[in-house]
Amino acid sequence: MSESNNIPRMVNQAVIRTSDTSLDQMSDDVLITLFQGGEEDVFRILVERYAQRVRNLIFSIFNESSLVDDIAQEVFIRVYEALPKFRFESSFYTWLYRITVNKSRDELRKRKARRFFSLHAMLDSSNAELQSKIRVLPDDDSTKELVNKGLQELPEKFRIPIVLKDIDGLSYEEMAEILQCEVGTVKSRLSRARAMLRKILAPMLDAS
Amino acid sequence: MMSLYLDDALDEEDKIRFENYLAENPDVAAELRAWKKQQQLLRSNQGIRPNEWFWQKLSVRLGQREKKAENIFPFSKKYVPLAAALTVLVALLGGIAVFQQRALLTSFFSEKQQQVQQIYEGSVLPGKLLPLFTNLNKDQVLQFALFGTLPVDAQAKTALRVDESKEKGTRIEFASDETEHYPQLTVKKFCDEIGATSDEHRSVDSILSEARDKIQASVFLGENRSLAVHADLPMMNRTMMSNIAASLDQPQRMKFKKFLAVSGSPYTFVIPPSLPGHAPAPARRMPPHPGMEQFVLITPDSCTIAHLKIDLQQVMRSQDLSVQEVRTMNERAHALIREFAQHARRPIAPNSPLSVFSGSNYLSIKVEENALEAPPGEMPFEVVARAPRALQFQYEMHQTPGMPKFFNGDSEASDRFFQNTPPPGVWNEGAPQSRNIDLDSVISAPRDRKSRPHSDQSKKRYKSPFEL
Repeated sequence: MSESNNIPRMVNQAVIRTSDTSLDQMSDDVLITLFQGGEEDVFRILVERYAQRVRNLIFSIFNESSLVDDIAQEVFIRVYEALPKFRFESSFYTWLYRITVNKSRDELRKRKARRFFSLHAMLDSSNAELQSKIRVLPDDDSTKELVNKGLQELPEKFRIPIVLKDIDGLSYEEMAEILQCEVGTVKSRLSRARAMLRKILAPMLDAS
Repeated sequence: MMSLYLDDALDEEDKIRFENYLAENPDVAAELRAWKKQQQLLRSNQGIRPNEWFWQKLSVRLGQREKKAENIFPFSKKYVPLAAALTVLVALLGGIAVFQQRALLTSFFSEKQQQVQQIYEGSVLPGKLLPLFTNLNKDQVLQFALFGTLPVDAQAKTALRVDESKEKGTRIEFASDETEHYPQLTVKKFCDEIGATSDEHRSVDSILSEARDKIQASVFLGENRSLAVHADLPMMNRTMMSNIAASLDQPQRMKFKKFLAVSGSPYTFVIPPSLPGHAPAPARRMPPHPGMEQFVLITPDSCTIAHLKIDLQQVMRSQDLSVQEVRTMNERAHALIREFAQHARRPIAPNSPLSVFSGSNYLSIKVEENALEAPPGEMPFEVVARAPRALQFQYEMHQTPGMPKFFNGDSEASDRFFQNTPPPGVWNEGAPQSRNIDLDSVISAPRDRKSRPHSDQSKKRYKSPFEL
């Protein structure tokens, strides 16, 4: 991603943009340079390149498909506004993920007062039938669904690291950059997050 | 330690120590297996289904945002306070200077006023210009988008109908209002019917608002008995429909398509085959109206295509009309249309791209394909006529083998019809660029014809196409 970090900002765009058909193959940094030079059409390529990853990240954080596109659009609008000032100090996708995480945090704060579906409550419920449905060897899809719901039970501080690491497969360093904290903090939060999730999911995973 | 081991982030020495510890503690080893399983389940998460219309919806929102954020100043917004302060200072200094030189200025402007009056009185452009459509609401605009018909005046039961297609060229018609044959739609009802999300509702609203502004700036009535219809108007309904389709998600888009079929719309749109990476063109912008614009001009004895420059800002200032004023204007428009329809029984000029048809209750103008300038860009979804409900114009319905077609070259020639000189009351290239608009004289002008009797028909109850 960062192979073209050394491209001078004042590079001659005519040299970069050899033809329209090669835009898809251009690196993020070259596209951003073109965008900053006034070629706003290239924004579409950046969106198409990253929209699905951003949508997946938001979906993992919220597990609500109805929210995904609204938040993803806000993320890309923010990117569109801030891209002219992008200084190439980090890779584009790390920066994009940081914006996504910040937007998701904002949304989580807004929704804090609401009551969510609580897996704890469900497991503690006196409804024996419901409990047996969960505990009797869930099939693969329903297990994934329960894991996703379990993820929603984690506080945002622990949920986002586990999403970035175990779903998106980012490195500790990338996570530290996105979450704007030290690598040590990332490791510690991730460890605690996994332990908390394990505790929540223990009844189901042990049963299966 | 277990978390770092799981991520293979331990150095070799710590890794061996931890593995020895696991061998001695089966409970911890079992816990590690559970963590691994948990991690596998998370990694197997396939995410959300791709949304192939994501860019379309984003581009609509970006467009709305740009419109809101548009900076009307030729400098950055951060200098606005400074500019405001400077403006106040300049105004203050100017005011002082004017006050000191007031006697000189009064005499100067008095002289100039007399000169302007003389020019105005001797001008060939003494007319006024008023927009025919004022205060359209979004429901009417939606009706226009879906059915291609816009009521000129509910009392007179006359509607403007337009269409533009590859097959039939551009058509403009003033005829009896047939909107009552279509469901009486509201934007809310429409959005409810197609299950639009709040975001989509906003997009539809935005498309209709933009179109409303364009429609209101597309049809003008000249005081000196002329009617000007902007060349872009005939394709606006199809463009709106296409843009609405592009702003919707696929399930809502399918419902919209079904809605068109059930509600009897003469149009439908084509959804291209869903190929990987395929996406429709971005929403087509409603054509702007800057500078010289192409209009179809109608006067009692002429019809022509001309490039006009209309000072929209000045005209729009006169939009705030009272009900009586609007009624007077509509009566004048009707009278003009009827008079034109009577004169229209004349032969067509050689090589004219216009064909005109008229009857006792309609006036249709057909413009040959390519005679008008095409708007830029393509529509996101191609909007096509729906067989057998395709939008039919009166002349098509009345054109039976036994009925002669007007302007077919078999009647007396006229040297006035299809003349190229635009009528007084509107500007053409090279004409003076400013004039006074005197609303009072327009409103108090004698009526050409009495309006039709007031018809207060109650609107038919809208029956939802989806009602069982």
